[in-house]
Amino acid sequence: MWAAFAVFLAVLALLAARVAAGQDPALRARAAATPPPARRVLLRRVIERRVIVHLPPSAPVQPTQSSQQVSSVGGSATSLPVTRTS
Amino acid sequence: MSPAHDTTFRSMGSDVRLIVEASMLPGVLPPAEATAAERRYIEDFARRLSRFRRDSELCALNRDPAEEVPASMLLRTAVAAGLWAAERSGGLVDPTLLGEIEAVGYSSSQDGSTPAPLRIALAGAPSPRPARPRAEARWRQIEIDHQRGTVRRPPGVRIDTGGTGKGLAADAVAHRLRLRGYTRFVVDCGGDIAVGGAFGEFDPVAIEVEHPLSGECVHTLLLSHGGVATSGLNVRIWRRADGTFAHHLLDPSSGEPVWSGLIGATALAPSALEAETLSKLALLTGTDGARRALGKHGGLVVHNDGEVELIGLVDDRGDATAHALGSAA
Repeated sequence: MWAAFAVFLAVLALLAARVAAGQDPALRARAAATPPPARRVLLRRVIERRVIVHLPPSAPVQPTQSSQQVSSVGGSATSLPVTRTS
Repeated sequence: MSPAHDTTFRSMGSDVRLIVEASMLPGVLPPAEATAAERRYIEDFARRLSRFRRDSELCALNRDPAEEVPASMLLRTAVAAGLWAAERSGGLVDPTLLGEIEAVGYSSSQDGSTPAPLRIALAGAPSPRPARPRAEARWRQIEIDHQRGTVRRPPGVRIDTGGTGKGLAADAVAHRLRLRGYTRFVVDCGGDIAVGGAFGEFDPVAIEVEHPLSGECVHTLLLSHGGVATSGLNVRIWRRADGTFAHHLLDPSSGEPVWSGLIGATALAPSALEAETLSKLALLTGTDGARRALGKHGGLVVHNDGEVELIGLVDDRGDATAHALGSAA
């Protein structure tokens, strides 16, 4: 009787020690699914400066020092008159 | 639509473009010959009224020490146009600022020179302030006597007709073309434009307005007859020896270039001369003044930041706006 009780206490102590060491058999499967410890990742901030230049469209070709026949003032055969700073 | 003739040439420091359609009257020159004749007229106009040519009639007038000086009909008309613009603008478009414009660095023609960058000039410009007329209105001392064929002014008061010259030239050519019955015409003197002819009433001319910074078309005007003109800071602008920037539109009260918060103004009016006067008046007086100056006939302004503001223009059907002005140009 006392022998059996002593064996029980010994087994209990052994199991308690394993649980205290983090080796609980009931949690073994979950412990296996625990992700590996995070690795250190070096983050580098990249600052990019963009200079956006809006180029004006090419000036319309005008017949400087020349003449041309067109179908109509308002027609599309010629560029429209432009009012601009001069 | 009748055939048109389209000619562009260089005069008055700018591109001049003439577009003329056929005449309804018998016996007049065909459009090609009419545009050639009007080109000769404009070149003669520019030669006689240039302040950059020592042999011009204007320079002779300004050199003359006498108080009363004989002047041709053309010179008297040009001076009269300058005085009319001064009266119309409350003294802001002042034809007697020749000494001041030379003092800020515009003493010779800048035709062909590269303008200084307007964006950089604006970055260092003083706080916006509207121009004010000169307390001593020298232009009121100028008198024209058509009976005697003279111009009278106190010796030393020099006259600059350049501020109104292109508008006057456009109107003069438009008048000549209208008398000869050309059915539609466009006279574009460096962006100061006169439009006329019978066909314009039912088939108006489309005119694009160019943005002073980007060069893009910001608006299209449909004009049956009358004038349209643009003033801006982006072409006649230069860097002075002290590093500051100057341009050709002066505040009469200070004799210095105006920085009003606007970099461009386009005006519609019954004539190109009035449109040129109103566009200058708008640019000189800044946002509030421009709204008053352009309110009657319509126009637009471009603010320092490039924003375009339409004034008195209906823009509810795209970017083209039709205009019927009160009287023929």
